[in-house]
Amino acid sequence: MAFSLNEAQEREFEDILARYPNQMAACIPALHFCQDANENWVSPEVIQFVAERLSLPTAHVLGVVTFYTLFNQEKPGKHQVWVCRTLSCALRGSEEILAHCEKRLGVHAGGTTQNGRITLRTAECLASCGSAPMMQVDKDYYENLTIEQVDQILDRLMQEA
Amino acid sequence: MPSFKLDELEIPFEPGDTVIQAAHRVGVDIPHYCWHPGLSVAANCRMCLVEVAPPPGRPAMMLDVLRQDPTTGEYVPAKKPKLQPACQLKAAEGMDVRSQSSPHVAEARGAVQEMLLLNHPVDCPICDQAGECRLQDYWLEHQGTRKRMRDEVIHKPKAQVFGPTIVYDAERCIICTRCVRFCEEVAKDPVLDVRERGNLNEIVVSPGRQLDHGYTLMTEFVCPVGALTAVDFRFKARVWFLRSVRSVCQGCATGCNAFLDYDPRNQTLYRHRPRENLQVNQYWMCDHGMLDYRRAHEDRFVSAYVGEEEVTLEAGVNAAASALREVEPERLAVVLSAQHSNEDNFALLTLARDYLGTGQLFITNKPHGEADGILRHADKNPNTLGVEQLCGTTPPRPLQDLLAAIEAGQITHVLALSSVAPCEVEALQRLKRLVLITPFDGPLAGYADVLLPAATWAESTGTFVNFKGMAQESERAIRPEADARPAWKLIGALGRALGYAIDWQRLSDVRLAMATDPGAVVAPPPSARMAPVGAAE
Repeated sequence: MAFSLNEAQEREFEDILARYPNQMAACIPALHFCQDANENWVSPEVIQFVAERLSLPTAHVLGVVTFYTLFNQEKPGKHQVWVCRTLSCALRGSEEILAHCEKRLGVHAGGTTQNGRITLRTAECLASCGSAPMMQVDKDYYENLTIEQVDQILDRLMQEA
Repeated sequence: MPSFKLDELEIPFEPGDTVIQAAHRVGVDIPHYCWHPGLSVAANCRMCLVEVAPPPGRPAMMLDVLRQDPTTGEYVPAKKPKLQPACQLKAAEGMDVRSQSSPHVAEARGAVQEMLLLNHPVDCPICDQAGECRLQDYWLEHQGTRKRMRDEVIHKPKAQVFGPTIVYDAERCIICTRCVRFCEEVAKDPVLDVRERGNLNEIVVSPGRQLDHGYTLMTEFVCPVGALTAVDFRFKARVWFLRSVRSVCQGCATGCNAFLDYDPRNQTLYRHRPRENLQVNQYWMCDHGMLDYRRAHEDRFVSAYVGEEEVTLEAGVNAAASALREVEPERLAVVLSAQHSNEDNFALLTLARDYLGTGQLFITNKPHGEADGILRHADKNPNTLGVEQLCGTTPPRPLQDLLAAIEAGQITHVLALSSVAPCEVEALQRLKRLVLITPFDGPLAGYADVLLPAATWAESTGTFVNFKGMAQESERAIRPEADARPAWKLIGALGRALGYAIDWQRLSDVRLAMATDPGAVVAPPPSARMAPVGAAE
């Protein structure tokens, strides 16, 4: 199924392209925008779309998508949870938090729950060391976490409509 | 000309040159994988790192490092100079560059080698590149140590089909991106790129595409290791058994300089490779040309024929002579060929003009095809201009005119070189006699009353003049098969059978005769910048 943008998205997409000196420079922001518009993943159709709109070789766009881990090459769950595991968070108990998440959700880091709601991931430093341990849910930070708070967050994500 | 010092050598350079470029031009090699004289600079392999001495009176840029003391095993503070890639470093007047003479460079190159080989499968015994592989050569020259990594290597896709002509082995790949840059910059079809990162890197073909432009074999040829292999050459030969001659591609009027690789033991051709010539083909050849060598073994005539009957060469020559003896000169036409060398055409022209006394000169050629704006020329004949120059002020007429003259009954006998034709040739059936000298089967061969088997370009040395007017020599690779002989030799024999005093025993005899004819060009011996078989650019 071919990927396309609606009218409002088209305007925003054009606005992104206009911000860069050349089209190749707009490749990453364009991909991010299209990923958001495509249920959080970059499908082969999205790669084709971006390549055509930016007049780039398809192989080049594929190279960019595979290079950066923030582009999902498979469809993730409805929500994405990144548990930071770098030094400050590790000292403040990120290992327990990750283990708890894995047990609660029944998946290993990198996996998606059976109902397709949550994809659990680990992250290297998200630059919130002063409020460790922390995790990122979609585009929001949750800081100074305790196991109870994590449970509340996961409950909400699993239950919300 | 400004110059800089490389080790103890004084290297001249042109403004804008990089160190490696200037060194390459005077034949001094700085080890490299990703740099190619005809491609943009990527500077990703780090093999060409060199040390540059600071300007007089200035301190060297030194880095603080920890170095393991081999006696105690302890790491102790040390200093080493900041090395620079010679492929990216612009040459400057008086620069003092140290390549082989610097222990720091030697150490860095060994380290680069070790890293490139970390995940390499070391499957040289089944790798086509073995014998002309930079990983092998540089291991010997710059590393020479055993592998220290004990971890399982990273496994990646093997024998991936990139297209009809090319197979890719990601485990052998060092991600130098020569192929990626070649496709984009020379073939003008950016169909390859790199995916993933770090040690998961691999070359990928554009989704929905194949590597199928007109220069896929060249894409393989720029690969410095065994990652890209050509389907045509895969598992066919070991390169150390092959020998090379400097040939000229016969595919079109561009006249790309090539190496023709053959196995002297079985007298078989195995491949065509580009030979550097900046005036003609630079470093490149097209797929059509690189596969054209196969033609030398296909659709051949290797013995003489009288009608349908296979005869000895002597009987064939005699039959040809008696066929030509029965005709008056004005009814006899001679057809030169844009497919044959100046020497072959000169021999035929001499026989026609000086001995047979006919002025009915024609030229045959392969039909024109497509040009691609890169190397391929629309004229698919290697020597059109050469034949025109030979004939001087009375240019040969096209084959179509001959066919018209035959239809009109003006011509009854034809002596022709090569069996190609640019058009339908049914009118030839009205001829009384057609004597044909040709290596290959073709449209004219079906009408031949006497056929003499000529040697191919691979079996005889000759001069070919490309569309720019450059006369270039193509050397003989293999011996003529069976009864095949160079066309000039057959023409000489035919002349003698007709009772003329033509005494061409060797190519030099023909060339001596050509020396008195201002239109007859003999090429100077070809140049060869690259090693015949081995790690070429």
